[in-house]
Order: sequence, then C-alpha cells, then structure tokens
Amino acid sequence: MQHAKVISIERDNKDVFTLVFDSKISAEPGQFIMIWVPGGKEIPMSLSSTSNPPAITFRTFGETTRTLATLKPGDRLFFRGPYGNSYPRPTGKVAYVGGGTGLASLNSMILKYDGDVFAGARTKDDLFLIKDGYKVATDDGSLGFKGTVVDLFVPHLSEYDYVFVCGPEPMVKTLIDRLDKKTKTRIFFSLERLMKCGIGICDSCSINGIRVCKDGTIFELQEVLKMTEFGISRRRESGKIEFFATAKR
Amino acid sequence: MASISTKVGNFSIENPVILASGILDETSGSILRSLRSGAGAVVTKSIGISERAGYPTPVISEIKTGLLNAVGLPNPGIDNFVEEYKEFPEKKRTVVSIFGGSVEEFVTLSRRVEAAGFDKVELNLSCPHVQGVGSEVGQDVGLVEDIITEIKRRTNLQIWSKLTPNVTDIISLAKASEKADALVLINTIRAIGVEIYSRKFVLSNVVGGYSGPRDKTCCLAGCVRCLQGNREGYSWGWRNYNMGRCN
Repeated sequence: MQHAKVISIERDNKDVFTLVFDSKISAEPGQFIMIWVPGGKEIPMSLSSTSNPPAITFRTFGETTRTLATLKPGDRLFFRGPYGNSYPRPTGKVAYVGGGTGLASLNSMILKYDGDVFAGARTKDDLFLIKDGYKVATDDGSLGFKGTVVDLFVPHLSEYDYVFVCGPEPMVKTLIDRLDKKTKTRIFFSLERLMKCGIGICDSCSINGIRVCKDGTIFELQEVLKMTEFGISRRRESGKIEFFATAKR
Repeated sequence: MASISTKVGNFSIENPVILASGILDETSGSILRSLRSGAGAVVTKSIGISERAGYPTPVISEIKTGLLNAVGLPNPGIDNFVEEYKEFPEKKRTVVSIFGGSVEEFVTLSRRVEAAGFDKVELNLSCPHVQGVGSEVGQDVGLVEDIITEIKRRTNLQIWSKLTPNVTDIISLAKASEKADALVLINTIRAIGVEIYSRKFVLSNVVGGYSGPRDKTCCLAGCVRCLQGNREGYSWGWRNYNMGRCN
C-alpha cells in the first residue's frame, strides 16, 4: 500500500471531481490504480494525468467516491499500483472518443498527444474536463450535437489514423457494431469491468478468459472482436453471469 | 523428451502443474485458457449451494513476502455453475472445489457435480476466514471422516481433501481423510494485516489467509508430518499424495 498527500481537489461538475496528489509513481497513460478508503472499500480508478503530480478524476456514485470527494489538501490518499497496460503512442491524425467517465482515462493521453476529442454525456451538466474545440454530444441536445457520441463520431472514423475510446460497455459495444471492421484506422479501447484484485488473480474482470486488469485494460479492435461475451454479459460479484439489458441474445 | 506425467489417485495427468483453487478459476473461459496454456489440471474456485457475493473490497493485500487474501468464497451457486459448464470441453482435467457446512450439503454438491459430467471434487475443508464452512468444518475430525465416507458411498467421484494448516494436529485430519483419493496441502495460513498510517486492517474481513514464497516451508512441514503419520501406521497410501500449493 502506498500513500500520498492530496495537493488539491476541484469540482469539475455537480458530481465529478479531480484530485491531484503528491506522488512520484511512474505511470503511463491508460493505467489505473486501486484506491483505498481506510475502513471502507477499494476501487479501481484510471489516472486522468500521469505527469508529475498525477491526478484522478471521478464521479461520486457510492460511499467510497463520496468519501474521496471530502478529502482536503494535506490528507492522505491510499492506493496501490499503477496497474494494467497503457495506450500505445499514436502517429498521424488522432481522435479520442469518451462517454460516461471515459474522458478521465483519455485525458491522460490528451495531455500528451494532440487530437480531436469527441465527448458525450446525457446533458451539458454531466460533461466534465471539456476544453475549447472539443466536439460535444448530449442526449438531450442541451449542448453541441443532439444524440450520442457514437452518432457524432462514427461518420468521421476514416479521417483518423489512431482512435482511442473509453466509456461504458454498452456505448463501446454500439460503437464497435457500427464500425467498418476492415477499417485501416487503428482503434484502441479502454475496457471497464468489475475488479476486485487489480493484479490478475481473482478472475472477476475476465472476458472470455482475458483479464481486463492484467491483459488490458487497453485492447485493440481485433482483440475485442474476439471477445464473444463483450457487450453481452458480465459477472456479478459472485461470479454469476448476468446479461446487459442492451444485449441482443 | 522426458515424461513428466504423473498420477493423483486414479487421475493421470500429462504434467504435474495444477492451478490451485481460488486463482483465476472463477470463469470457464479462464479455466480453459489455463489448461490450453499448459496446466496439467485446474481446480475451480469453491462452489457452494447458493450464490454468494463474497466480501467487499479490499479482498487482497500485497505485502513484501506475498499476499493476504479474504475473498469470502464468492461463487454463483451450484445451479448457475452447472448451467455455465454444460458444454465445457475439459471436464476430466477440471477438479470442482466445493464447500459446505454439513455432510448433506457436501453430498448434494457432489452429486450435482457428478451429474454435470465431472469426475473429481476437491473438498474445501480449509478456508480460514468464513464462518460455518471451510476450516471450521475441516478441523472437526469426525465430520471430515463422515463427509468423505458419505460422498464415497453415494457417488463415484474421486475425492481430494484440502487440509488446513491452522490446526495443531494435521495428522489427525489426514487420517480422517484416509478414504480420499488425494490430500491437498495446504490452504492459506490465517493472517491479519494492518496499515499503520491509517491504523486500519487492510482486509475488509480483517482476518484472511497468507500465501506466498514463505508458506512453502509450512506446506512442506504439513506434507512431511502427514507422511510421518502414514509411517506411524495410518492406512492411507503414499501414492495418494499430492503436494498442492507448493509455490
């Protein structure tokens, strides 16, 4: 277990926060850490910046993240990691496609490599880390394109050499279903699954025997296409298979 | 090339590398991957009668000398397990680990496992951190003997008995397991970790089990003691001996 002092914590929108912490961890964009709230739970979290000092950006959705949001500068942040592989270094024209809190993981790349950013959310109030020039989609049309970020991005795919995608599994599945599978664009996905250990031993996050935490979290399109469970089913905490509501079975 | 094939009870395996229960064996996809990557056999995560979520995180803690864990026997329950493994192609190289709180539960699980097409069970008589099952059952010599006797009587399964090191007299457990086809030594060693800056326990369940390079010495001690017990006149055979969990 490592610990680091909190340098700052800022509110990005009504329930998203960015926490910068004083640590010299050597992490690459796309990697994650396991954050522990003493006396509470431990959860995986992508780094939204891997420079020095590093940062995490998170949505408060449970007790652990709500507790994290109450930390003050000088408080200790407990974590282990970094874990997982990282986004590859891109060449040529680059695009980033983020939905949900996916932009947090992609932000670590955006800070290092220029590219066009496509960001989606339900409403403009759910957006975060948005900068001038980003292409925005909202479900209700309250800002930017009315529709999903998948609708917004897919027509532009062939304009790019490298694309990096991070978002909820149903969104990523929709994107993959609508892609030209023979595209010459190299597309990489950061996948999200229930994780307990983060180090590749507990099997909670596995998809068709592929461990998201250790073999990923970053996979190229061809690897994801081989995962027949992707976007269809996942595991509960017990290991029982449950199907996505959006899955066509 | 020299053969490294071996036998555990009546089970012949091409190589002696067996993935121990609890590691990367919750999903059928991962078990298949391990077998196709070279494991001689795989033991599943322990399956009980009902679905069980296990403990909240943190369930593992990395320490300098290995790992502490208390995952809390998460499992989908026998019904969902059987459903998932219906078409599983490697049933003969997969040993199904089961846990229960009584003779009847162990027998029920064993019969379901056999009906699903498997021919080997490992009895989890040794999980160190869940009340009412695991080592709480496994340190009761009479109960261990009854469980194994009844499974033998009511199924044709080969039985592996996984023992706990967290007892004074492991020889008596080995003796109680004499009708089993193999002994598996050892489950993790009961352990607790504390994070000093927060003054909190590192596992949500507080108590967990230690595993790592240093438990090999304890594992070997358990193995040798059981062998000595055998030498002192217990009737179970040398050939039925499996040095599981030696790192």
